[in-house]
This record gives sequence, structure tokens and C-alpha cells, in this order.
Amino acid sequence: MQSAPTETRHSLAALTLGAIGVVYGDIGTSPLYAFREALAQSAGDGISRGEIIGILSLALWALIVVVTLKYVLFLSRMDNNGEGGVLSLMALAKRATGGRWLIVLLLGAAGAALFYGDAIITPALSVLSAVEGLKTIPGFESMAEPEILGVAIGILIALFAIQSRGTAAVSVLFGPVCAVWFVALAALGLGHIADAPDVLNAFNPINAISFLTSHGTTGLFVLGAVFLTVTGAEALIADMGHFGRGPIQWGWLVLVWPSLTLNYLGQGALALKSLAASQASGVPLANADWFFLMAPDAWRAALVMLATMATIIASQAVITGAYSLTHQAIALGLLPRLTIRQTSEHQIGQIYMPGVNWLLLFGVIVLVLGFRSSSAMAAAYGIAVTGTMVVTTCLAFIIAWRYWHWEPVWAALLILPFLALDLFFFGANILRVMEGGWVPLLVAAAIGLIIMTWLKGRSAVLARSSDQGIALDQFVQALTIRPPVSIDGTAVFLSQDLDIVPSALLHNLKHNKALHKRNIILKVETQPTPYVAPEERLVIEPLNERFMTARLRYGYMDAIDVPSDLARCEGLVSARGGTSFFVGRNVIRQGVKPTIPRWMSFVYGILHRNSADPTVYFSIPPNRVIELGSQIEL
Amino acid sequence: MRSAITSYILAIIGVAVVAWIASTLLPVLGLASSALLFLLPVLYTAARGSIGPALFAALFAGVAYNYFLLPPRFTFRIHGLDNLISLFVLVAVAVVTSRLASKLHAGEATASARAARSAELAELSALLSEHSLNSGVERGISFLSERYGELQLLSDNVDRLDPKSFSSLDQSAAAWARHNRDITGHGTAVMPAAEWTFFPLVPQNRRDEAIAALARPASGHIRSPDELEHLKKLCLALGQFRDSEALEKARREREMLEARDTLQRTLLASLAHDFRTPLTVISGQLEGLAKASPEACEALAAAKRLDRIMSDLLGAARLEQGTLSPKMESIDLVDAVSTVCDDRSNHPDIAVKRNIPADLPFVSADPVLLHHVLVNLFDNAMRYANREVAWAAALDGERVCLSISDDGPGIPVNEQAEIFDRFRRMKGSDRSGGSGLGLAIVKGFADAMGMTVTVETAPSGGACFTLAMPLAPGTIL
Repeated sequence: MQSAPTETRHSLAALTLGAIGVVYGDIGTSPLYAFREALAQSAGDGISRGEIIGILSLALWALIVVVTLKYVLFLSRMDNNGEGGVLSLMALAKRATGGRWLIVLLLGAAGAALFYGDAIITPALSVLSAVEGLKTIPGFESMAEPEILGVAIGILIALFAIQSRGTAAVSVLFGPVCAVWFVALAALGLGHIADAPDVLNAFNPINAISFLTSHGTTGLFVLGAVFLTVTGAEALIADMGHFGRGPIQWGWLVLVWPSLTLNYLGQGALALKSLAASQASGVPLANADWFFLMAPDAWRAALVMLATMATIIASQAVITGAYSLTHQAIALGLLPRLTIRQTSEHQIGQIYMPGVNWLLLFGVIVLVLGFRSSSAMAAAYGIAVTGTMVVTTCLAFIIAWRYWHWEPVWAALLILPFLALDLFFFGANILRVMEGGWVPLLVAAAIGLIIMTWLKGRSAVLARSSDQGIALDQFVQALTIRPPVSIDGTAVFLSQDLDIVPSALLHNLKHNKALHKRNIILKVETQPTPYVAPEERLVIEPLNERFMTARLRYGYMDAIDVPSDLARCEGLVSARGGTSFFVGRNVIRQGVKPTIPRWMSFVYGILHRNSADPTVYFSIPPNRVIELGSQIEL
Repeated sequence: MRSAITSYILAIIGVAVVAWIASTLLPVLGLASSALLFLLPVLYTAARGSIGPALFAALFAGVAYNYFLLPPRFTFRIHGLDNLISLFVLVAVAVVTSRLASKLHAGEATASARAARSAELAELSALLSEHSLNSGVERGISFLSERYGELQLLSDNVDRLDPKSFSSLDQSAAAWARHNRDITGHGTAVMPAAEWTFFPLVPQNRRDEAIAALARPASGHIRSPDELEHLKKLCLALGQFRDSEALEKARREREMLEARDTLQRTLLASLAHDFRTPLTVISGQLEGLAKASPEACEALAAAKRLDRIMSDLLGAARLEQGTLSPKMESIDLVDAVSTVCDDRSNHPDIAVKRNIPADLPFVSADPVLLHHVLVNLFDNAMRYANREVAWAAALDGERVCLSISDDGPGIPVNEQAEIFDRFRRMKGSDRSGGSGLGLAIVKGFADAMGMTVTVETAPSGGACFTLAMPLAPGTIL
């Protein structure tokens, strides 16, 4: 990305190809089910020509307004030092508002929580809808539901199982395969538009509006389903840090948007053609799997395979996105530390999180077995995505107002239409809560509860330990007056509050009765920016010749390596005698006078016990760590 | 990468050729044997090693089989379950074969890599053993530098490395490697951002802080854990050679020292014995002559001095061999001192004072050894004194302290501790005549008899030697 100008053109093309594989997989597989589902909402009394054109018009304009205008042209400019995504926007808004607005934190937490709902539905829905295409292959019409579910679950289990081995090696194929996929989408569409050229009327937005006004409640249900065409738009900004704005915008404008438009038009044309045929024979037109029917019989098996690959790639992008979102959430303190493994020695950022992986797989399989068809699942899909979009738009407003310093009126004027649209879609999807929309809401609520418990519990622990703690400056003074036995070397005490004495230091003095020649009280902080340059991370404040406090400030996307960053400071840990790291390990107890509700301290205790070892998270070699335990009553 | 692309191209060509042959010969071959033909390009691709092209070939063969052979031909349509099963079998066989073949390939590659590494280790060891310490270590370093990039040996006792080539991060990584004997720096878990990788030269359980620093690869790639492990072994071999060479050097030095000592001892013993016999004859004869001629008297004095030197040498030899076994008796110091003084031909310019109380209790000592000690002390005092030599004795608690002091130049305080060493004579002293063994014998004999001998500066500025002697058993104070 920071290559010489001569390479720019080449790398722009390469990055665009990469972006097509990662960013557009999700939105690119929407044609599999979006048009079908939207038509299904109004198919109760047979399908009319006006309905086909109207729904098509809604889909095309959703792509124009929501994706092209809002995401590609507007939100993609709103980056946090190049990074996008709901948590990056939250961090940016936090920075812009000085971190005092609770609403920012709540929005971020809600956005993250909803993302997990999205992350389990996307693989389940897209893979299942691709596998359902098998039924359209001549000779397979008789395939029963259990067989389809079996194939889909097999593919999903295999997909999640290979995550631990890293996907860097196969990810080079994602871009080319998706490019082929989009070309196929366009080709399929083009082939059918010629059959019914009047489908091009769908570009006229009046068709969309008249459809909505004439269909009442059904119109709202249809709108909820039409929204499926833009699911995955969130990825456009979430992956901006990897590819940069340019490749993402180019990929959309040059390849993805035209392909999707052509394909939806082709599906519409096919429906119109079938309508004409069925009208001629006098039977009402039944809804069908329009996407797969577009392909001639002989090519359908190949199309199903290609669709399956595309959905696997889309699912992979969502899984990777879930890891990266979790990683950011941990760094920003929203979630407890989880085990993170680097899967590639050469590429930093290729991570694997076993806990997240298996929980996602569990959720995905429950969804597949629970809903049993992609149509049933589509009802559940919209809520998570529209919810995230509402959050994103709200954060965008705060950023435009406080960070870009727009007049609130102008910011509101620009953003309110988008927000209204999001809320409109959200409302349309809320109608389907009972049909399955409660599932992502339940997942989001559970994640939200965990985030809230973690935030509250942590601040309660901090408050408790600073109440009970001894002030550091007084303690240091007392030690200079009556110094204990001094031993060679440097001791680093990890602490969360630099004003009080870390309990590990107290314990060490009490039980080992010795003090190192040099003692560093270290606090590791995460800044609301994605990256902090290595030379700017360390801030040292000497207290006297033996004690100093140090802050290590990381960005929420930075790989944390405490020893290296301490070592960058001249002579800090290169002195004779070696360096030992002292970590206090708190055990949470139910207190007599609880500061937070009992259930919350109970849940916090579980989260705390199961959170990953901080020393691993800080890249401190385990053989240099001394852990000293203490109890905290909540 | 290039070979992978070649494999993909070969797979396409192979499948295309087989598809052409099978589709033209389908009536002759029949469907089943044509299907088997498709295994050939897949097997060939798989045998080339990597899984990607093999899987690609398998899928491509499956698709081609479906398109060209399976009825309805020239469509991708799958007609009925039996067609699907033959397609599935083709793909499955292809996948399994390719997996097996590539596993075999991978295993072979690992084995040959391991063999290459142990060969390299052996080569390094052979190279080292051909050379002596310094040149061997240098050759080892250049051997490794040629293969892996710049290598530096950082011995211990260096608190700061050259900041020009080692940044603060590198310094810390080096300190970490020294202290914990871990591999640190570039490519490792500890401070991977450093520019160098540091390897300990000794195993973990040893206390030595020497390390080797290896520059990170110029190509920018990160060394794999296997490569680091191998490099660690190479560095350990280098360190072991360095250690064993250093040990060998120390051992040789010690052996030389011991040989010299033995020679000295044998010489002393033979001198003492073999010279004594003729000397006794000479002294006896001279004693007879001395009564008549003054020249003979002088010769007799010289012979007696020679005899004393001889007895010193003999004493030193006995001390050295550890064959001294004192026979303790009760001795009156007044007698012992007067024997010594009367025996000596008194120097006309030097007055000898004796301040030994007559009621001093008896001490416990070997009479022969004590005599020798006192003679040596007295000779020593006489040699350095200007005008006066004084004997004094007093009871000090459970011991009797006998001291002899002179008014000579005295012994500087910083040399007092070494004055009892063998062949030690005061610097700048022009007076000679002693064997250089006298005081060493005093010390050795005194120790053997359970006495302590100390030296300090006398009030007159000369030296004052004090012998603290145990009381004779049964003495009542």
C-alpha cells in the first residue's frame, strides 16, 4: 500500500481484486435469494407484472441509495486513520467527543453485538441457499431436505474446521473466484434482459414508489425482504483498513454494482417471461428459484458449484471479520481477553480465535437445523444488518458533527434521510420478529449483556482496588527511608492504575522481602486510534532512581508486544540482572456489601476466570512471568 | 510459485489430452476404462508434490469427464445417481491419491532438510576440530556468516554493545539472551522487532553469558522456528568448541606449573642430601685446622653458612613433601635463645640484647625445629640490623610470645603478608647471603609445631617477628 509510485497501478489492480474477494462476497451472494424472497412476500395471490417491476425497482434503488450513495460515497470517507467498521467509528466518535458520551459506547456495543448475529446468519443463509440450488439441477429435483441440510452442514463444519490452520494460503484464490462469480452474474443477467427488455422500466423510481403506496403492509414486508439485496454493505467500510478506500470504491463501481444490477434485471426478465408463459396457459405464476433457473440446464451444476464457492468465500469474509471485530473489541475493553493465535508467520493480522470460531459454528448449525431453509432464515437476516446500519448512521452523525465540525443542522440534513431510510428498513424487518427475527436479537442481547457486564465489572474492580490500594508516591517515599534488601535486575509490575501500588509489588515485598534495583510500574493502554507508532508508545515518568511509572499506549489494531516496546527505550531493560514481569491475578469474590448486582458479579467472575492469560496477550514469554494472586470483593 | 504454475499448466494439458483421447476412443474403451484414464493426469500432478494443483487437476478431470464422456455428452448435466457416483469416486480417488503423494513428498522434503542440517552441523564440527582456539572460532564464524548472514560473537562482561550496529531494542534482546539463555530477537517470540537474532552459546543450565548475534536475513524473510532451532544447535557447537578449547588451555597451564613444582622439589631434596655429606667432612677437617690458622677459621665460617643454607633447603624439602612430624618436648626458652646466640660468631658492630625473664614457663616445641626457627630469625635480624638486635619474651594468656626485632629498614606494611613466601626478598634490598628460604621455613616449621609467627614494624622502625608458642603440657600458671 505504501509502495513506490511505479507500482501503484499494479497494486491498485491487485488490491481491487483482493477487495472483490473479501469485501463483496457477502453482497455478491445476495442475488441467490434476495429477489426470490422479495417476490415471495407478495406471491400469496400470484405474481403480477407490476409487482415484478416494482420489487425490482426497489432492489435497484436500494443498491443505489444505500450502497452507492451512503456507503461507497459517504461513509467510506469516514475512517479512523484508514480503518473503518463499527468499532473504528465508535473509537473515532469517542475521540471526537472526548470519551465522555455514554451513547457512543452504547452504540458501539450494540453495533458489535448485532454483528455477531449477522456473523452466524450469513454463513448459514448463503451456504444453504447455494446448496438448495442443487434442487434445480435436472435429475436432482427429488433431493429431500435432510440431504440438502447434510451437505450444507458438512460444508460449514469443514469451513470452520480449517480456520485454525489459517486461510492465508487459499485466500489468494478468493479474488479470482469472486471475479469469475461476478462476471457470471452479469452474463446470466445479460442473457435474459434481451428476452423481456421492458424490465428496464425498473430503473424508473416511480415504479418503486407506486408499488409501496399501493401495497400497504405487504409493501413493508416486501421492503424488509428487498433489504436482503444490500446485506453485506457493512463490509465495505469494515475492511477499508486492509484494502484502502480506492480499491473498494473501484471494485464496486466497475464490477460489483453493474454485475448485481444486470443480474437482478435478468432475474426480473426471467420472471416476466415466465409470467407471460403462465398467463398464456392461464395459471397464476408461482414463485421459483429465479437465480438458478437463469442458467441453462446443462450449466446448472457448474453454477451451483460456483455459487457454493462464492458463498464459502462470503462466509469466510464474515468469519475473518468476526475475529477482527473481536480483536478490536478486546483491545477497546468491551470484551474479556480471548485466546488469539497467529496463523501466519509472515502476515501479521492473520489471526484465529478458537473460542469465537467454535461458538460461531455452534450458532450456524443451530440456525441451519432450526430454520431448515434459506427462505425461513431470510426473515431473521434483515434485523441484524439493519440494526448495524442504524448504529453506523448514528455514529456517522456524531462524527460529522463533532469530528468534522459540521454545523449540526447540515449534518442532520445530510444524514437524516439515510437514517430515515435505515429506520424504515429496520421497521420493515421488525415486522418479522416473530418469524425468526428474534434469533439475531437474542444473540445480540446476549453479547450486549456480556459487554455491559464486562465494562461494569471492570470499572467496579478498578474502583475497589483503588479504594483499598496504597498511594504509590507515599509508598515509594517510605521505601527510600527504610530500604529493603536490594537485588539485581529490573522488575516490571503490570498495573491498571498508576496511582496505587500494584498488589504484586506489595506481595513481593511482603513474601520475598526484597526489591529489585529498578522497578517499573507499567500500564498498557489502548488509544481510540487504530495504530500508534512504535516510538510514540512509551511514556516514562521517573519517581526516584529505583521507581518509575510507564505507560505503553497501543492502537486498537496494533499487535501488542510489551517487551519489545519497553526495550526500544535506551537501557530500560538491557541492564544486567535480567528483567522479570510481575502480574497480579485477581480472584473475584462475592462481597458482603456488593457494589454491583449479584448476578452481574457472578457473570463477571465467570468471564474473568475464563479470560485468556494477560501475559500471552502482552507477548511476555511465560518463563519470565511471576504471577501473584489477590482477592477482590465485588 | 513458478513450479506451482507449471503444475497447474501440466494438469490442464494432461486432462485435455486424456479428454481428447477418451472422447475419440470412447466407443472402443467404454465408459469405465475411460474414467480410469482420467486418473493419470491427476496422479502425475499429485506426484509433483503440492496439494493445490493436484486438487485442481482432480476437479478439472471430474468436470471434463462429466462434460466429454458422461451422457448426455457435452453438457454439465448430471443424469441420475450412478453418474454422480462415478464422478464422486473419480474426485475422491484423485483427492486421496494426491493427498498421499503430496504427504510423501512433504515427508521426503522434511527428511532431506533434516539430513542437510545435520550434515551442516557435522561440517561445522569438523571445521572447528581442525583448528586451534582462536582461528577455529574465527573459521566457525565465517562459516556461519557465509551461509546465514553476518554473525558476531559477543563475549560476556560487555555491558553495552556498539550502539552503531545494535539499537536499544537489540541491546535489550541481547541482554535477555545473556540472562535467560533464550533465543531472542528477530524471528523469535521475544522482541521479534529487533534487527538481530541472539543465540546463547552455552546450554541453559550453565552460567556463561556469551552469545552470538546473527543479522536478520537480507532478503527480509523471517526465519522459521526450525531454522532457528538448527542455528541454535550450530551456535551451541561453536560455544562448546570455544569452551573446550579454553578448558584445554587452562589444563595445559596447570600441568606445566605442576611439572615445574615437582622439579623444584626434587632439586631441593637432592641438593640438601648430596651436598651435606661432603660438607660435613669439610667442616670437620676445617674445625681441626681452625685452631692453628686464621684462614682456616674464615673457611670454617663459610662452610658453616653453607651448612645452614643446606639445612634450610632440607627443611624446605621436608616441608614440601609433608614428611615433617615434630616431636614435642618441654623447652626452656632462655636456654634455647642462648644456644642460638652463643653459637653464632657475633658481629662486632651489632649488640644483641636478651630480655627473656628467667621465670618464663616452659613451651611445647620440637627442639630441633625450634632451634632451626630461632637460628633463621636471628640470622635474618642480624643481616638487616644496623646496631642492635633485641630478643624479648612475655607470657600472653595461654601462650608465650617470643619476639626478635632489629633496627634495620623494616618491612613495608603492604609486603608484610608476603614476607613468608619462598624466595621472597625485600625489593631494593642489597643485603644478601640468605637462601631466600629462611622465613618460609620459619613459617612452615612454626605451623607444624602449632605456633603462629607474625611480623610488624618495631618501634625503632625495623622489623619485629613474633612467635606465639603454646605452653608445655602440665604447666600451672
